[in-house]
This record gives sequence, structure tokens and C-alpha cells, in this order.
Amino acid sequence: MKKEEFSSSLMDKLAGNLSENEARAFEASIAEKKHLQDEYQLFSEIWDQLENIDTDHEVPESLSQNFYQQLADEQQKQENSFTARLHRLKEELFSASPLARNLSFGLFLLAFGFILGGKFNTNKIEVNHTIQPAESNSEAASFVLSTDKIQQIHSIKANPSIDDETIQRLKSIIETEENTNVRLAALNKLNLNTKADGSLKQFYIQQLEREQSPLIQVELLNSIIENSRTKESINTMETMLSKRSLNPIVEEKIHKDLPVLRASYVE
Amino acid sequence: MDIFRGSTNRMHSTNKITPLNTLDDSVLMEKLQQGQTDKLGLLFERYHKRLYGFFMKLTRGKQALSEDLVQNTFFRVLKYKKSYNPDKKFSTWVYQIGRNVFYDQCKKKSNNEYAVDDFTYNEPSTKMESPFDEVDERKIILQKALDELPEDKREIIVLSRYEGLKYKEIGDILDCTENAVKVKAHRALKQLKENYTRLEKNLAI
Repeated sequence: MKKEEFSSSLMDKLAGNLSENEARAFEASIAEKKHLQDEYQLFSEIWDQLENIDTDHEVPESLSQNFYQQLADEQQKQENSFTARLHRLKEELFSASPLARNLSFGLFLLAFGFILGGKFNTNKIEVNHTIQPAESNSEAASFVLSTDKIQQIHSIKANPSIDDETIQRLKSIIETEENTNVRLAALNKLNLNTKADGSLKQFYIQQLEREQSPLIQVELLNSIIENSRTKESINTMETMLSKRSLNPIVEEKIHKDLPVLRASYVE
Repeated sequence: MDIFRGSTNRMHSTNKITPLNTLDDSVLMEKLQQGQTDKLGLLFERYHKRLYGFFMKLTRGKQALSEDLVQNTFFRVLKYKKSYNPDKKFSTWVYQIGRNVFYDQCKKKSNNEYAVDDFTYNEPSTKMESPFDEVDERKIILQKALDELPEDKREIIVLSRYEGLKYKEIGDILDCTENAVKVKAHRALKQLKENYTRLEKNLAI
């Protein structure tokens, strides 16, 4: 048996990595070589004795305390970074009360985009039209369609509040509409012009569970916290926190809202 | 066109819900890479005791230093989070970082910092009064023999005997093959036995 081979088998034997057959084969291979047998005996003893050395070191409490303190500092540093501030600004824009501000801001951006597009991009659109007319038309049609929908939602009269049929239609849009901006407009309309009864509160929770867009998730969380608080929404938020794909902004929002919600149900 | 006459159908996919404490290390690392710094806390909870024990053995029982090394290891995890490869085990990676932190510390300090003389070690009594004392004396001699080993040899014994790691994993940590680990461990054990025999003889004189 070569020296290296012996080292390898010996260490496997000591660590208990050999099967019964392998262990027997190893013992047989050194049976007639006294120096290897002695060496095996010697190392077995020292390996076993190592077990007896005190290895259970009690971890001082200061370790965790210092670590979490440093981690908090690190998080603080990150929160003060430019990217984080940008995220917060975005969140504030979409969570500020009254909610009408959101819709106005969205429509303002839309109008601004239209003006800018009309002024500067006329030629480019024509060029695109020449190259891929069908696709550009379809994109433009879809864009106009979404804008139309938003305008229609915006024009719904609420005197003083919207009727049940319109509520059902708005709910249906929130549930099934593909375009995020349209869903957002419908949600804002619903939130601003209806009194949150049991069924609407339930609807918000269900939507929060199903919704994929972080923007709408934040809006739904606003709706819940502002006028549709329920005990059930606490569970929904806790469940969302455990989701792997949860957007960090939404996660931060939930972390902010959960204590407020829990406090509402202390008594 | 009336928006209320029909809306485009949209598919909602449902995500599987997994409690945070059952998430794989690699998933937590992924979240950390995405900027969720708080996930470092969960990894700390899972590994700080093992790493503390590891450093206590490497530093010959220096408590404050071991604490610092654990802290530095986790903040190096945070600093180099992007370099983590999810195909590799996190435990192996964190030990790799830990030993780098330890050796960097060794470089910073003079060799005396970790010299055997620093070790708080009570010279065993020459009288063996009872079998219990004899066992205790042997433990002390073995501990001393282990502490006298050079860092690389002590490290390999600690990793293979106390940290519950497989030779393959140790190979990943030390950046060498499984066979090379076994040969190194064999050599380390040999020197440990030599140290032990010498110390035992000294005691008998």
C-alpha cells in the first residue's frame, strides 16, 4: 500500500467514511504490516482523545448585540444612499393622502408625454410606420385604448358616491385588466368615491393576495390602511412578507403598515 | 369603445409561500444580493455559533478576538455578496471567508499575538492523585499539543474533527483536492501525536 493511499484510507476510517466492506478491506490490507497497524492504532487513540477536548464554547451575548447594532448602522447607511432615497420618493408619491394626488400626477405625466411626443417624435413615428406599419399601429392602438379607458374611468360621475353597478364594473377592471395604469385608475376611483363596506374590504384583501404589480400592491395597502382595515389583512400582509418574490418597496411598506394595523386590534 | 363592456383577461399566478426560517441559505443570499440587508441576520443566527467555536479553536481561546472575527466574517459576506455562487454551499463559502478574515488578522498582528505563551494554560501537576485527574491532565496536554501546532495544521484538524465538514467540503474551503486534505490531515495528526508525546515526557521528568 502506497503512503498516500494509506493516509487517505486511514483518514476516511477515522472519520467513519468507510462502509463495512471498505473498513474490512482496509484492516486486511494492513494486517500483515506491523508498522502500519501501529500507526493506525496510534492515530485512532489521538483521534478519539480529540473528542474529549472541551469544544462547546459559550457564545457571549455581546456578539449578537454588537452584530445587530452594526447591521442596523449598515442598513441606515444604505437607506441614506441615493437609490434608496429615490425609492422612498416613489413610494411617497404613490402613498400620499389624499389619493387623488396619485391620479392627477399620473394624468399629468401622461399629458406631458403626449405633448413631448407630439413635438419631438413625429418624424420617428413616421419612419417606424414605414418599416413596420402593422406593429406600430397595434402598439399605438393599444396605447390609445388604455388612455381611453383611463379617461372613461376619470369621467365617472360620483354624486355623492358611485352606484353599485359601477362599483362592480370597477372591481371587474381591477381584477382582469392587463394594463397597470388602467387598474390603478380604477382602484383610485373606487377608493375615493365609495364607503368601504365589508365586501369591499374583502375585495381589497383578495386583490392584494393576487396582485403582481408592486405599484398596485402599494395602492391596495394604502386603501386598506386608510379606510378598510380588517384583522384578516394582518394575516395577508404577514403571508406576503414570506414570499420570495416580494418587491422590496412593498416589503418596506408592509413593515411600516403592519404595526399600525396590529395596533388597531390590540383591544 | 366602452371600457365596461369587457376587459382583457389577465392571468394571476399564485406564489408558493415559504416561511423565512425554512428558506435555504442560497435563497437568503439571493435576497441579500437583491439588497435585503436584513437577511444577513438570519444567516448570522444559523452560523455564528459554529464560526465562534471555529475561531475560538484557531485563536487558542481568545474570546474577544473570536467575537471580532465572527463579526468581520459576516460583514465581509455582506461586502462580497455579489461574488457568492448559489451552486456552492453557503457553509463552505462562509468558512472560506472566515479563514481569510483570520489570516488577514494574523498578518496584521505580529506572530506573538498567537504565540503559545499567550495561551492561558495551567501547567499540569506532576502528581496524579486519581484516575479522574489523570484524564483531566491528558485533556490539558492534548489541548496544549493542539495549540502548539502551526496555524495550517491546527486549522485542518479543527475543520475535520470539530466542524462536521466532509473532506470534499474542506477541500473547497482550502482550495485543494479531497485527497490532499486527507494527506494534510494525516500529517497534522502525526505532528499532534509528536507534540503530545513530548509534552507527556516532559511532565514525567
